Amino acid sequence: MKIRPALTVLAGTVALALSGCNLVGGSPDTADTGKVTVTVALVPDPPGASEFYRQQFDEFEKANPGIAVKVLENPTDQQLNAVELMFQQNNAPDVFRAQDDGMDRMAARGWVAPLDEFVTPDFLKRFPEGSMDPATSGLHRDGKLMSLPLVWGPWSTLRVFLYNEDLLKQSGFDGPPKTWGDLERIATKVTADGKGKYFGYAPTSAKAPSVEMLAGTAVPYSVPATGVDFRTGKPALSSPGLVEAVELHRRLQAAKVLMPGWESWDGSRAFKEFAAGRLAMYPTAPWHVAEVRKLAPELKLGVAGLPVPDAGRGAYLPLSKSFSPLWSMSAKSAHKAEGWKVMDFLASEGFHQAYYQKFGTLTALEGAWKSEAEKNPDQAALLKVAEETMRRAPNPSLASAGGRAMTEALAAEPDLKYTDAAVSSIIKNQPFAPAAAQLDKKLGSYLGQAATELKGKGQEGSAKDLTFAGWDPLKDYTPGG
Amino acid sequence: MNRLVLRRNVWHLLLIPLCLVWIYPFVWMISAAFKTPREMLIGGLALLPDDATLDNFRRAWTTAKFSTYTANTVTYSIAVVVLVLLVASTAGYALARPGLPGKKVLVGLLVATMFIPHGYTIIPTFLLVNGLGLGNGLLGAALAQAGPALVVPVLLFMGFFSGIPKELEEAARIDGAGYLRTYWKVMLPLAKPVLGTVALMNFIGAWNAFFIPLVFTLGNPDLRTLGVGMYGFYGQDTTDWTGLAAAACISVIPIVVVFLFLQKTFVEGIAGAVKS
Amino acid sequence: MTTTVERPLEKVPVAPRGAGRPGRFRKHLWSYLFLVPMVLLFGGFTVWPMIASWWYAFFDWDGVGAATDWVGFANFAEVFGSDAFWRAFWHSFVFSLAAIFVEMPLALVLAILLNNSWLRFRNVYRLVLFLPVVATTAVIGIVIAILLDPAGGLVNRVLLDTGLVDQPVNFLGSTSTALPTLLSIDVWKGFGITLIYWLAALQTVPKDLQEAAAIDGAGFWRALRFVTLPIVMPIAVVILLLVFQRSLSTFDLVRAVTEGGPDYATDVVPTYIYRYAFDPSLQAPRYGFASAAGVVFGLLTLVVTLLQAPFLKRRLSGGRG
Repeated sequence: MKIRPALTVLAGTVALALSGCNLVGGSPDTADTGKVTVTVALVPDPPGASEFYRQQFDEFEKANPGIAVKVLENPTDQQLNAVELMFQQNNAPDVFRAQDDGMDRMAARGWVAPLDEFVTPDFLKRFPEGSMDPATSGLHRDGKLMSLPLVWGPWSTLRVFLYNEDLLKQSGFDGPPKTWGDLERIATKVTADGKGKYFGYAPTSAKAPSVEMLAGTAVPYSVPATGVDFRTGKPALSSPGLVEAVELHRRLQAAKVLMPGWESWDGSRAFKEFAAGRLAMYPTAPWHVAEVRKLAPELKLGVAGLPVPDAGRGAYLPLSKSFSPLWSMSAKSAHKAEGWKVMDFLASEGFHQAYYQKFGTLTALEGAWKSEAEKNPDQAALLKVAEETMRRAPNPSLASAGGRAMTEALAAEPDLKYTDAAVSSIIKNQPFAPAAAQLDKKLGSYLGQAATELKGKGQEGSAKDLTFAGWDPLKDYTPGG
Repeated sequence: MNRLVLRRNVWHLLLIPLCLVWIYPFVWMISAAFKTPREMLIGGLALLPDDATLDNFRRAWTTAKFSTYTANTVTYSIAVVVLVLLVASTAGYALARPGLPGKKVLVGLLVATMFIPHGYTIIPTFLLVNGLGLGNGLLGAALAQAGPALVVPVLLFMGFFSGIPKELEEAARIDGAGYLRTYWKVMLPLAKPVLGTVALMNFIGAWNAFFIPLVFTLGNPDLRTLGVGMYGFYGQDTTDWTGLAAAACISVIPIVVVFLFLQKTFVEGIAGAVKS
Repeated sequence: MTTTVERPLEKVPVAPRGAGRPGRFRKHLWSYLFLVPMVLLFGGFTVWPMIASWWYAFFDWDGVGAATDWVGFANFAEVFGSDAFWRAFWHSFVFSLAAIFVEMPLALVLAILLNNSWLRFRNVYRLVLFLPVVATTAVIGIVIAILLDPAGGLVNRVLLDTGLVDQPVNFLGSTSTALPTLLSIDVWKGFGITLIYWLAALQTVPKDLQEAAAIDGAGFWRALRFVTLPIVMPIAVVILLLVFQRSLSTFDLVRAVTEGGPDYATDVVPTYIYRYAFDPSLQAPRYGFASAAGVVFGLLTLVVTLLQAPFLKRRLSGGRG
């Protein structure tokens, strides 16, 4: 009895001693070393990234003795909120990771510094020919460079089909499905042969992104992505191609062909099941390939293009911009020159090579990995699929201010996405067409409403900005062409 | 007699399986903490790792900074507990005075806020702490954590102090003890069980807190607590499973120890508080 | 409102009622002084943020900078008209029902059992049952999800091997079983603390009364019915409140295990609010709308609680000496 208070006091004192003035929080330690501290806010992604970045920045500090890099890590799904709150605290990082829409969210608040004053022609030469053109780079806003990329341009929109050669062989198939009909047949047979030990096919994760991936071979990419067909500027969720992609999954679910439990899968479950040999095939983003390899080096993994509708391909995967934004500089940074040095390092050949070696991701600087990737069968297959199944496509948010405003307006209305309706119809075994028609109606009136609102604010933007009449989804698109 | 012993031991046949079911996820978690990432993902559900490794603990303790986080969490949790004990016991003592004007209003307000969700009120809280200039330390976070957690402790203390016989206080006053001394020297020592209960409840709550410590240590991740550190194992698309399991073990063990120490007091405390 | 909190200060009685004992005024002054820390902390960190979010609920605001886009009651109208909100509200309510009607009685039964001093190892049992309470929900939720997996998860393997089912049960993946499964996990997690509450309540039964009942030849059941339960019942109201409060905040569990899915079959109000306020995939968070949803949920909960008030009052006034 007597011992307890003593223990508590002891533990308390020890902890307080350990964490020093953490309770009240002194001023951030400004070591008087004459160094400038650059803070970088990033996320510990992929696993192992914490050590990797620290080690890379240590090398950077060796090369730049006047600069100390301080890393601020945030939980991945809290990064954007965290960085926003740091800005509100007047405690913003100098360089931060904000991907895709996240960068626009930050830029809309005036927190992203343009990088043009620092960029030299030599710097631009690191990137593939023509990829840094302000009209199509994906990194520019209103002609200003706002962000630097990390991954290879096609990496974000490329989709591939993974299959387990052995499992397919056991059921008597010596190649991946070429069409949706093949997919249905093969998946059904493999699941039946698996007798609960392994399964033919799964929709990749809980929100059934496989629907969108397959639909991308049938209808223009903009239909599943935004609900609008960019050829006409009209809602097109009722397009037969998209409806059929949902119906295909619905049939497979009703026939118990899909791997059970996918309804609550997170984004990493599919590659684990595949690596463990419990899943024979599924469509996915390319980064899964490296993850499968880490877990199952010996697995006979096939990488192919996505199966196309039985009636033939209706569209290619889009190359709608050269890159996805990732690293940005704070507009409030007190030492932009030093911050740029760090960003320059994050876009250097050396860093990209190290990143590729460590994580197997194809990065933005093709030169850093191209020759090695061609020797690696998995990565060579990815490059081949990208070559064969991707075409340049129009991108309204790069084409005009009105297009960007409309794209943002659509992105702000998650209730108009078809995804929930599709999952609902697969799980509950109900036809998708009526739900799609209803969504199209809502979407149509929302487009009008958004245009009216923009007009009220004196800004441009209407369905016209989402229309590219000359676009053929089966051909490369050239802006203005 | 023998029949009685037999009948009493029959209960163990029910309780032991129940406890096994109860504890299984923890056993599984501990075993995962010793597995290699590969075995965890590909391997089956075997409880004994094929080749046990301490690597995950090493990774959690050093790379993921769990050594720092543990110290911070202890500081933070103790700060929250001290705050809540001090504030709730004084308030509970005051509210237990018979015939205090305005008591009904206050108690009503306290109870009313119990049922209003406050996860989404984080932004005003954040702005307030920043305005007070406490945005850079664990104290601000501790205040934000302690504020909404006050209601139940205040009611517990109030109930307990109301139940103490008046004669005790009278005696103290005759001895010449004032209000403050009566509270500190006479009443608080009596309230040990309630103190233990409230301490344990809030210790657990603070130990596992996520949102508040995250928001208040944005600019200074070195101040983060275990609850936040845990989320560092979730990548964008993939999760470091075994590291997470090791981290979870690290963060659960101290709580279990605290509970072992306080469990008797805990039960007595709740009993004492609700008895009135 | 904060002013109501401070009003007692103005009401310090100058001419005290009653016996007018000397020092009474001073005594109350001391009491008010003792209340100051609580009023400050509670006012600053509970009441003020709440009022602020009521204010934000009238704006179309993304949580950054000043809220300028006044929309009146539009957010509230949208909340009331949102089927998704009512679905989430119903699920939250079901969580409360499960906690009150399943967890509480079961925990009482077990508490009565564990309260017997002849039972060996009862401290071990108590500790084991309490373990889930202290575990970090996010982690333990995922562990359970793995154990329940239909393709190779342990639970399904056991069920299949013992022949209890012939098809794996898709616990978390089917809209019909996901919610009951989560409810069970929630009961599992909260069980320990409710058990402790009941044990505490049982401790208030005077030993001599129990012994008297035993000497009277009243069997175990009769002693339970005529001695123990009547004494424990008033306390049950307090436990009910505590359990009810806990059941309203099932956010962590749902988010870790199902994220509200499949097809929103397990969406609860806190996850619904979170989606609009903090979801990282949102282009612009709708903090104002999320605040409105929070306010509506708070008011609805208050109404539900007040509906029980007469019943509670009777209990409380009967129960408090």
